[in-house]
Amino acid sequence: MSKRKLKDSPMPIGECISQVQTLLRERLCHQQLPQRPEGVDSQHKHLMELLKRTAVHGESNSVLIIGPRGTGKTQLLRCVLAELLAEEDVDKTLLQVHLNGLLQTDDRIALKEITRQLSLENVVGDQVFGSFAENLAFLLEALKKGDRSSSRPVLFILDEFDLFAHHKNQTLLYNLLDVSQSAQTPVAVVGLTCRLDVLELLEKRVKSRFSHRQIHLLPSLSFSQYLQAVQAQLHLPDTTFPDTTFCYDWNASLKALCEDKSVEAVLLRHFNSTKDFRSLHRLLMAILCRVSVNNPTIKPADLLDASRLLSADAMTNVLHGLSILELCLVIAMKHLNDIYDGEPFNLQMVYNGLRAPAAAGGGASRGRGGGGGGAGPARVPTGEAHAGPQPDHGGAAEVPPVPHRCQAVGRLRLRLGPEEGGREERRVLHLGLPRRVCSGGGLVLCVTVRHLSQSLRQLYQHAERFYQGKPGVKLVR
Amino acid sequence: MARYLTRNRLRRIYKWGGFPVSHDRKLKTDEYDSLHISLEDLPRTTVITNGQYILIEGVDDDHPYVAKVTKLIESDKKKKALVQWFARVGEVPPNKLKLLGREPHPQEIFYYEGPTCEDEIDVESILNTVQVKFIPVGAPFPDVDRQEVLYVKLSWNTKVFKVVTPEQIETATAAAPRLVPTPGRLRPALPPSPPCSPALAATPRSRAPSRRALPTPDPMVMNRAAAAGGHGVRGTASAGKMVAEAESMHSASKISASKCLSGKRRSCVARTPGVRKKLELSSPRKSLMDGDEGLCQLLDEDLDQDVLMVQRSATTLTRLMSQPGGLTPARKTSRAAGSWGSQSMKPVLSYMSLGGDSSPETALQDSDRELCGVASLEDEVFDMGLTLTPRRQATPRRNPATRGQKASTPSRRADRATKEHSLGVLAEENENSPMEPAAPTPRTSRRKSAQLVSSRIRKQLSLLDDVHSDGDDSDEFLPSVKELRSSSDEEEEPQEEEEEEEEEFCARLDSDDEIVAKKSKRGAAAPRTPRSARKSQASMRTPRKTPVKKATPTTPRTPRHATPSIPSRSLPARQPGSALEEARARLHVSSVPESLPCREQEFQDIYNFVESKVMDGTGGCMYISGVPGTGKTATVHEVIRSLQRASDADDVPAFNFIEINGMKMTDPHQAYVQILQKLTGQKATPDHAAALLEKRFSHAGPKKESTVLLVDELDLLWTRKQNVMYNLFDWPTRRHGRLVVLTIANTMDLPERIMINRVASRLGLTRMSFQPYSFKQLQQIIMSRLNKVKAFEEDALQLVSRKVAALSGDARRCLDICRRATEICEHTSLDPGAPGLVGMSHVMQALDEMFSSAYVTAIRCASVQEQLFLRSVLMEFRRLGLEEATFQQVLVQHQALCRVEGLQPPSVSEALAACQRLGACRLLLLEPSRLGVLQRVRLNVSQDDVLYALKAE
Repeated sequence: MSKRKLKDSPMPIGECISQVQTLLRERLCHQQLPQRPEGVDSQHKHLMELLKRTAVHGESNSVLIIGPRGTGKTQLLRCVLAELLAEEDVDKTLLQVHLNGLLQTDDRIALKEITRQLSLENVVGDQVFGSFAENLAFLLEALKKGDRSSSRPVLFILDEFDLFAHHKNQTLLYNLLDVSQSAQTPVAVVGLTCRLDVLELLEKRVKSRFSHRQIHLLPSLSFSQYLQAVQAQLHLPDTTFPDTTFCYDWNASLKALCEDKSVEAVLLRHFNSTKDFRSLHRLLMAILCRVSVNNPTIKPADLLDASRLLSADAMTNVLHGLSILELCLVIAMKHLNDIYDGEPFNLQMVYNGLRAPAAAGGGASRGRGGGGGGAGPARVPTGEAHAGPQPDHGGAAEVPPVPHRCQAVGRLRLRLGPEEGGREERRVLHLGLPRRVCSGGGLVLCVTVRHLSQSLRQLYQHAERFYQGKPGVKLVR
Repeated sequence: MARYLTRNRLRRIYKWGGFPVSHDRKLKTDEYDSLHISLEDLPRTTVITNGQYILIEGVDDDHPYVAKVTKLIESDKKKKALVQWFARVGEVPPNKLKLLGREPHPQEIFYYEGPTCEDEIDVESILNTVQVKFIPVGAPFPDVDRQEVLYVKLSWNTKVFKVVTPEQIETATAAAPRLVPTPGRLRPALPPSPPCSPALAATPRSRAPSRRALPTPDPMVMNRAAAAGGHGVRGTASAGKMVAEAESMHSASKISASKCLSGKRRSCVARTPGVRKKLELSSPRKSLMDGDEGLCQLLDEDLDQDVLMVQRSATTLTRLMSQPGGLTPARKTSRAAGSWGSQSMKPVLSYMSLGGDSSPETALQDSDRELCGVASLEDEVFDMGLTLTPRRQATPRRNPATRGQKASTPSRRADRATKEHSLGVLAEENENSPMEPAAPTPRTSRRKSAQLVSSRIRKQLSLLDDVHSDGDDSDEFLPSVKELRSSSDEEEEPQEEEEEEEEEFCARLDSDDEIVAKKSKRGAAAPRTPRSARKSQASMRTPRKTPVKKATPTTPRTPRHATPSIPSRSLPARQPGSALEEARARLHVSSVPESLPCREQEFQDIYNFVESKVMDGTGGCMYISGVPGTGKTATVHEVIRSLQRASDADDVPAFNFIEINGMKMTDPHQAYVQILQKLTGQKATPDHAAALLEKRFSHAGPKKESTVLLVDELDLLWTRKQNVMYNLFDWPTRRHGRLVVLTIANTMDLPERIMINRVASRLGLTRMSFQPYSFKQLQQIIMSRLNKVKAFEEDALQLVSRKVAALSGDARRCLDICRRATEICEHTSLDPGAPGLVGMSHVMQALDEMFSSAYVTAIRCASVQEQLFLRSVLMEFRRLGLEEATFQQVLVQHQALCRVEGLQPPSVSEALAACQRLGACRLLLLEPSRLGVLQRVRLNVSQDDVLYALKAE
């Protein structure tokens, strides 16, 4: 406090917080390039030299940057480019074409994009390009016109390079690599991919034209480096941050945080799970969101919470949201799954499993007397229903009435179906329900229980936790 | 409609004129004086005599071959003609055109003296006669290009242009005048007239017969002929294309028969407009304005109302006035320089007033003009396959006096417009024209009527506008149509001015929207560049009113012509400095070596093959196979280079070289398009291109050079029906194909594997296989590339070449490794100034980088959970005894393993994420992730690798 008073114009705490938020967000969302990517010096040098030779000497090259996701391939390239373009003559010389395999899904689109980015459109005026063939011929002609010493070098950056290898005949790759191997316009073809087997995707003549330069980016950092990286990511720059006092406090607290044992444990767990920087950034982002005026520094508890939030199991989260009826169905299914050892079973069986205990349920039966379809107020004690494997759930619980069969089906589809993804038919099929039968009203739904690797006990715990204190539900242990 | 169809079916009849002049017993041939070509049922006959210039059916419809008849013989019941060829500008290879040292005139032809040229043609391939004029070397070309007049200045013998002596040309003319003994019908051809003979051109006497090969100008005979010829004669007159071919007797043989043929051709062509659509890329000889366009203009015009016309002319005028500069270039030098500005404005004004006043007379004139134009257009319209507007039928109130002339003008224009470039044959549109039944009037005495009309018009004009005093001035304002059509008047001398004027007047009325910068029409001393003039005119045109289906190349296609290129750099590329940089530059695959070592035998074989085929003028196929990077394409290119050198040195005949690459086209059928474009510069759809190429390779053409076609990556030209490959291999087998096809692919047994029998059979058995390079060869290649630049240690080179030879024998790979090694050497050297030689260690490192797989490293660098997952995958595999497991099964192992390792077991989501990451690197092969925990997992690396990687840690 005293220090702050010494300062001439201490910024209000809110201002500082928002400054911190902005600064760190930029950093974590990859909007700001680091000065120099760490741990990849040799790769950086290699790529730098290569691109420089293309830009300065007009030498054609091709290179692949390979590494798992989140290891900084794009970042490396961007850093190199930024550095390269900082040089006076390169800036004016180098032409860049950025392509992404996810965007340019076939060669036609890719060619149009290349033409656009090279602004060769100006040459052809506003004339709309005719056919794909014309387009290709045009581009090849353009590239052929140039020669090593007089044309501006073109840098082709192919993100998701492996997807380009799936284009028909690999026409684009062949032509780009062919240009890079012949005395035409100098080009540098830089491919970025996370597939280690990318070379095997290339056709033999395409492969022969590729120079086989591969820059592997594999994260080989140790945990201590990882910790340092975390600290560096959250570190505030002493010199440029407006309020030095706040900056000092923040950095000190950060240091303390990283030395905290529980924090270290959380980070170690994260580190063991993945070395992907993106997921680390996600974690740090969750922490950053908790920083506010009331909470100006990062507390270990924040980190723990954030980590729990991120590492929570997705399917368990879904189970949290199930209604009693759905939960009952799931429990019945789980039971059946255990009995049949993973073999598929149909809804009739599940339904029976839901109802049968009501009839056989230790004399507590208040099940419906009538046949199927009635919405009688059948009260099925959950515990009784699955008495076999779970003897500890002896008591009867108040559960809602046994539903219509169609109601049950609908439920299943609604709540469990979407997990399968894809279109409706797919979903039905994955549930094992042939459409015909479904619409015919027969209950031959085959259900394969997935994601239910947790024990039934866990399920009950969820159910208890969730329905505790809800009116109309009595959970008896 | 039926009548047109029947008309198209008319056959041409070829008949010798008279009896054999001589008989060659040895060859069993009879020589004749003249050939009569006539149409079945039609009275008119075209006579071809020795020494005449004729157009001969060729590959290119728009530019038929030109030749001079030297002999007419009958051999073996076949009518043949011996000819002396002339080469058009387009037939001279573009690179040789440079020898000309100037821009060739579009209508220029060259006396062909080269070898390899069949001079015997079938008479049935004769399209028409043509007019050829000799121009002394120093003299400029006549100013306005007329389509049917061709000019000879030089001779061409496939190597150089030489000055041609007038005798060479004139002998032909001298031989021409022979009496054609067809009594009553055909008049003897005119005696040879010197080109541009004003006297002859002026007299109507010479005109009519010249136009038509039809009788004397003697009124009696003319009448007789008119009576006999019926429409035919009239049609002829109106087909004013040959109106002014006064000075040449060739026009005498503008045969109706050939017209019919051409009509057939044209009509069938016109019915498929797509086929005709030709994008002209680089042929300067083609005028931008095409025949179609002329027609379109006409159609436009006759759909316009007079009011509109006036308005439009007014706008054009204002535009014209606002662009005085546009007038200047077209100025005639012979004009009085002082007064032209005001003069040239006058006619427009007068025309304005003419339209604006709408005095009864002009109105009549106008409508007459329009209607007649319409009427005579009809044939054209039919032929072009366009629809007829009912309005065209109405020709109610014609002024009989003017009609003859008037009707003829537009139709003549139409004729010209349509055929100007296309066929160059006689017009026969009006041949049977039933559309003008009420016009029996003096078509044959066109000259008379012309004079009559012109005097009438002059009278009217003088009435309307006093300013318009001088008749000559009117042609200052030539509408562009005048320019476009192959104006017949160009060669005519000032004596013809009245007619010109009157024609132009009509034309101007017609093409009110095209009054643009005046074009000088006379043969002026100063040669112009016709293209630019046309361009400007095209750009100044008012937009069309009626959308015409047939696209015309009016809009300047300059964008398309623009050659795309990557912009050039401001600073020049830095040259290699050190020895290593120098070596690297030399080792780049792209650098063309001085020679290709290690492929001497293959080089010699291919060279001999191509050379022999080119020498003999025959065709053939060769199939070259070999794995990538064994120098197939490079060797072929080397062969072609040396052949071209030899051809420059005159050791082998000249030939075209065309290269296509299956990988560089989007569709196998694009091969046709590319071949055609590289061969002729034309652009066409694949089907049309195929047809054109088919024609080109299957027809005997004069002075055709051999074509060497390199088809790289042949396997990509495979289609289901294998049409493309079939054609490529079939063309060389044609007698006149003169095509040598060299095909390259990677697999040795490609013909057996993918080709159906008829294709494989045509490919033949001339095959060559490029073996992968041995290490010695690779070493030699590197040495020769380095060329005494000392950058590598001997051992290092040997290591590289041995390694590559063992793996693939790919020279590209070898060079790439060497380049990488130089880089490594540069980086690792302690002293950046003097890096020293590339040694074993550098090469080893480079090899390691390029050949080692990253799997093991990737596994080592993976996170703990990922490694555990891999391990549990192995465990599960071992448990199951299979190479595949579901995620769920692996997960159980994983969690157990975590407990053993003392780690907190991951949640399902976390484990799944780890699994997906491994899948993304392709360490694992996964089913689609939507299957969740049930997706099956397989390893993409060998288990040993995984164990090795995990153990070493």
